[in-house]
Amino acid sequence: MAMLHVLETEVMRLWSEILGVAVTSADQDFFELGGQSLAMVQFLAMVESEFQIELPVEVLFVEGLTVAEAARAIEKSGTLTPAGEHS
Amino acid sequence: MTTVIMVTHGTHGDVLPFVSLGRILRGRGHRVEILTHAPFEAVARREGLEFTPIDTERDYERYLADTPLLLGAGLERWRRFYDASGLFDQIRFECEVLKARHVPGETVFVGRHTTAISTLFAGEALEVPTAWIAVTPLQYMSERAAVHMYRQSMSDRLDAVRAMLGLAPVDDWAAWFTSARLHLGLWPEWFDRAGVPAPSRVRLTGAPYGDDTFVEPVPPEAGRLLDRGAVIVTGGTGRMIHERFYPAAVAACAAARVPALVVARHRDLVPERLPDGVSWFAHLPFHQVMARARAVLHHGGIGTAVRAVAAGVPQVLLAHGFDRSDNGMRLARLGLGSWLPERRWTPGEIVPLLREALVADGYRARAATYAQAAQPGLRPAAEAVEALLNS
Repeated sequence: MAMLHVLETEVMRLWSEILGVAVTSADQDFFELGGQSLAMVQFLAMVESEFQIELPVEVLFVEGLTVAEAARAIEKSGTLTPAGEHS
Repeated sequence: MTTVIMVTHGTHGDVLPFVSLGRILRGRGHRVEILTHAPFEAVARREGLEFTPIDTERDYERYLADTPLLLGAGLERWRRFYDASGLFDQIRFECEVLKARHVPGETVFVGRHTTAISTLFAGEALEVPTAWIAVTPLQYMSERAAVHMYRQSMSDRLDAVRAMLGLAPVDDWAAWFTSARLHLGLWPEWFDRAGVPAPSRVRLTGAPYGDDTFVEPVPPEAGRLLDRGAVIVTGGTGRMIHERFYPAAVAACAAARVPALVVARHRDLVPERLPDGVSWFAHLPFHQVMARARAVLHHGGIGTAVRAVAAGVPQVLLAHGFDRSDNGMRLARLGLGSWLPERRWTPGEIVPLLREALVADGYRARAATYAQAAQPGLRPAAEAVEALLNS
């Protein structure tokens, strides 16, 4: 549960930067916040670059994705590790 | 003498860098031909390139008119767009031209990353070394998505083009997508490091500055406005722009009481009635006028963004779709600009950022480091393309 909370915080940080709006709740939806398919591409690429986690490409084509769902997808795909801590 | 055949698609930011690259290659003694949209024939021929149109002026306008549909979500949109715009037939046509023009052992193909599918197909069939060139980092960031799209929704039509060339269907789209022998990125290292970096196989050569292929003089009215401290407002040269961009940008300039040059190829995108001190221009030679502007309020295209940094001019981005918010994010991280998403395009949000840009104390000094590192990157790109034949 603690890890999921950390992941949600990271997702909110990334979405705020990508979307240019404050993202403050795990219930907020990427597309309702103004996100589009290429912004989702950006999110996947940033997750891969920063945390070395490759989310399934199918995530790009979903019609709704909340912070909590994105965090769970990251949790399922691997262990969160900031890129700088990889050898 | 090498024959270099280039294929590119899109708007000025996608085409003019290739025209400029072609000019340099031609200056180095090579024969250069470009396959692209019909409206670019004059500028390509002026630079001494041979030109083959892949469409007509009317087709191109329709293509531009349909592209806003791509801003929405969903895999099927792209297939519908390719079908409706006849892009599979266009790829087939490009392959036929590449096949007809190549000289065995003396030819290099150069294509725009993601869309110049024909260069990879024809290069594979004819054993011609091929370079793919990206004009924005998001093209590399999108590779997994593009591979998925080609594999899941377009492989039937693409494999039919391959069959025409005597090639078997693609069995590994991910490997095919990275099969060019040379991969170039036309942006500076500092811009790359500010966001998700390009893959290690990519050689970054620096900014393209394709806009210096336009040689029209600066209109007197533009000169007068610049002398009065005007800002430049531009949403790029295509129609891939949110309908609120120009109304919001113009309203913000009026609210901030700053004169403005609104540069937009399509007049209908711009409010019919413009406030005093705001004038519309279809084109302006940015390499001449950018440094004279007090600030640039733009859509977030990478060409405009890097050109503004090189000119030492503060910038505010109203970014919507494509690579624009990624470009805005990179500039914001570097302290070189600010950006707003579409839902924040109100005078109350834009005007403070514009005013901040107009009084950007020390901006030129801050940008100077990056401006120096934003030197033209097309010569190294030309050398890399040249070396392909000897590799």
